[in-house]
Amino acid sequence: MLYLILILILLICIIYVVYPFLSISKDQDPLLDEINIKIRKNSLMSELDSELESGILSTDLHNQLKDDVEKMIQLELQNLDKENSKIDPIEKMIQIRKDEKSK
Amino acid sequence: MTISNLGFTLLILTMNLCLYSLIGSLIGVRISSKTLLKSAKNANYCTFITLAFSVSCLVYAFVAGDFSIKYVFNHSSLSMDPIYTWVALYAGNEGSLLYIALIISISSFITLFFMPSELNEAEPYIISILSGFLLFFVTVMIFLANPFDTFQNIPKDGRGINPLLAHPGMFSHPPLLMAGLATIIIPFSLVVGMVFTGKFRNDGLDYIRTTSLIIWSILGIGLLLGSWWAYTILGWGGYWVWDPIENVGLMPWLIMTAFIHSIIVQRRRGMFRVWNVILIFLAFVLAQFGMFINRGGPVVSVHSFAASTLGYIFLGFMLFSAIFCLLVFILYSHKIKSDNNVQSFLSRESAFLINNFFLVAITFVTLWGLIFPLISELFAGETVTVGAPYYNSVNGPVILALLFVMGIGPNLSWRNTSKENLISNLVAPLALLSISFILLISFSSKPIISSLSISVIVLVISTIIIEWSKGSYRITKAGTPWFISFIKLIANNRKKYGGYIVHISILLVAMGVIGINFYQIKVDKVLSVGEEVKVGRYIVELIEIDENEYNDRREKIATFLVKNNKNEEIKIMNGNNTFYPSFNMASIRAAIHSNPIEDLYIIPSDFLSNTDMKLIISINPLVWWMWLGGPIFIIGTLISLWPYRTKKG
Repeated sequence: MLYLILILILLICIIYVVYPFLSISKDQDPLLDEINIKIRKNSLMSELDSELESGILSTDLHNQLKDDVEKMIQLELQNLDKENSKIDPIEKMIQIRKDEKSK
Repeated sequence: MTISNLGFTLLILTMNLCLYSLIGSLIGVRISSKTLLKSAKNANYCTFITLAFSVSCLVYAFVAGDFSIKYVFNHSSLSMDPIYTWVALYAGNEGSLLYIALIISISSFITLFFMPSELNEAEPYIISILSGFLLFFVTVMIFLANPFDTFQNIPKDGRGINPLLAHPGMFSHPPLLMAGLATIIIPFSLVVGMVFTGKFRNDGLDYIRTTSLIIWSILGIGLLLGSWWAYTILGWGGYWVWDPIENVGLMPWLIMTAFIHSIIVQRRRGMFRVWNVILIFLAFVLAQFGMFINRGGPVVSVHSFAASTLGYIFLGFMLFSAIFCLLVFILYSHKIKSDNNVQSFLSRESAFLINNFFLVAITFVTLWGLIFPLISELFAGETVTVGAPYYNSVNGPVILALLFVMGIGPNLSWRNTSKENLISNLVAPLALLSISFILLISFSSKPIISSLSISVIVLVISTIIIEWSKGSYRITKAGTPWFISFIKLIANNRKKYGGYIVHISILLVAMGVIGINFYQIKVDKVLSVGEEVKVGRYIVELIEIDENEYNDRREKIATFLVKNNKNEEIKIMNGNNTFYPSFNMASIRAAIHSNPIEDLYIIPSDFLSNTDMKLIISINPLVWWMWLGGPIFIIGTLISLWPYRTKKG
């Protein structure tokens, strides 16, 4: 009886530990998606910072755009999707805001 | 296969799972493999199963009286009250380590299972820390403190449980205290994980706060239950004597108190990030220090397990933890700078910071008192004892100042408090403090510190009542009845008002401490059967002395008739003095008559003959309120943690 309990526990542990390797998704690894989004965010933020330094953006617009980027990245992380098209609207939004200010 | 074999095999399996989880999570994050990370996480989950069954094996061995296992032999016997076989698991060193390992695995499971997505990036580091911590305990058990070690020749009976542990407190105090100390690893791992990813910001702070609050409350209740247990049994020294083991449980609790308050400021104002990291590191290292002192450390205590080399293993782990924390701090502190600084002394942030300093100060005073005898013996060759007078005289005023700021702080605004607000919020409470202080010093012959302590309690209670009244009044203006308004006030801001309820519980404990420390009446008396003595409002008559002989103990019971000043009978009480020959130990239980005003506390300290005995009788005012503080503390914490209903759509 005790041997049976031990074998049962062993089996449960082995199955549970090995299971993730047996059910690898063919889709893109979501962890990589998440890392990509974060890299993308850092790059956008750096771009905005350098545009501020070079005088292309005003301080107010810079801060506003940074807040917007932050919010949209957070939304993106929460609703992580395999489609990358959702990232594009962030850059579109930045361009629209810049255009509005330059008019 | 025997039960002991099964239990030990499961420990080995646990060790392997921890190793895999630790290494797998670190490699997984390095090579960005979600699959390996998931597998490592599952391995951590599995430790809960293996340890639960391992613990079940030991408990079964106790209940079944399997004395082939040395641990069962050392902590139970056939003549022991069977109910204690269920808790003898953590009566000794090896079993308590097994219990702690189980608690770590359960808390790791819960923490990882409910972890919010904001902490995804930090998760691999959190898993590795939790698994590494558990690995240490399991490895110590396997190689140095095996709870499943067996005899070649099976004894017919065991030694029995330590007589001082045969008490209802055994069901609650040790498991809660050990759980509270061990699970400090949870907020520690969460913070370290976030620091490693360079993000110790608002993401995940709520989760850290929630876990910290739960652990802090478990530890707090564990400490209070220990005080209650010590109060009822003479062998533990009284409700609090600044015993080294009591101190090593208190110190992490004080630092966690600072942490759970300071994290509010970080959440609200983006401040104190580095300070919060320091606090949680300190709490964790102090918890490991407690392990060292408790398990064969060099400090003598009625609470500690027997001195052994195991203590130095825990010393080594504590030093490793300290070095780890220091390295993390040096390498990563520049990434976690705060967004804002304290702008005004008259701000809530400032009050929180001052209180933090007080809490840290009390901790270091307590730590110094604990280690000074060691330092003195090591460097000067002198044996010194640091007792209650040192702690009371140094910590007492700081605790008083802490309570004062606890009353003032919630009335200050964030960033800055205007003079008008300051006056309107504080004039009434400060007036009440002054009036009560003047009245007390005018009519009381007790030390000024006692009058000041009571006045500070009056201040804090009045600030809470005024705050609640104002808040409830705002809601009643809409036509809601007063009582419903009060409930709505609490329900609409549970964190804040749950916190106030917890503050009230602290005040109740403080009231009990003031009562017993400053207003106690104590009488030493030798009584013969039939004689009586007057103490305070009571008359205590010794009715009879009985002696009972059992297999494992000799029991002497004194029966008292308690009357009031009008000679009216109140109740009959018993106190006993029990001697356990196999342990060469005596256990003295006080006879206690308790009401909200005072406790009549009778200690049968010495039985001189069949008809004469020596008694210590004391009147302890307000102690009843100290124990009431416990349930109120729990209620306040639960309210503070109660989640809001999320709206759908």
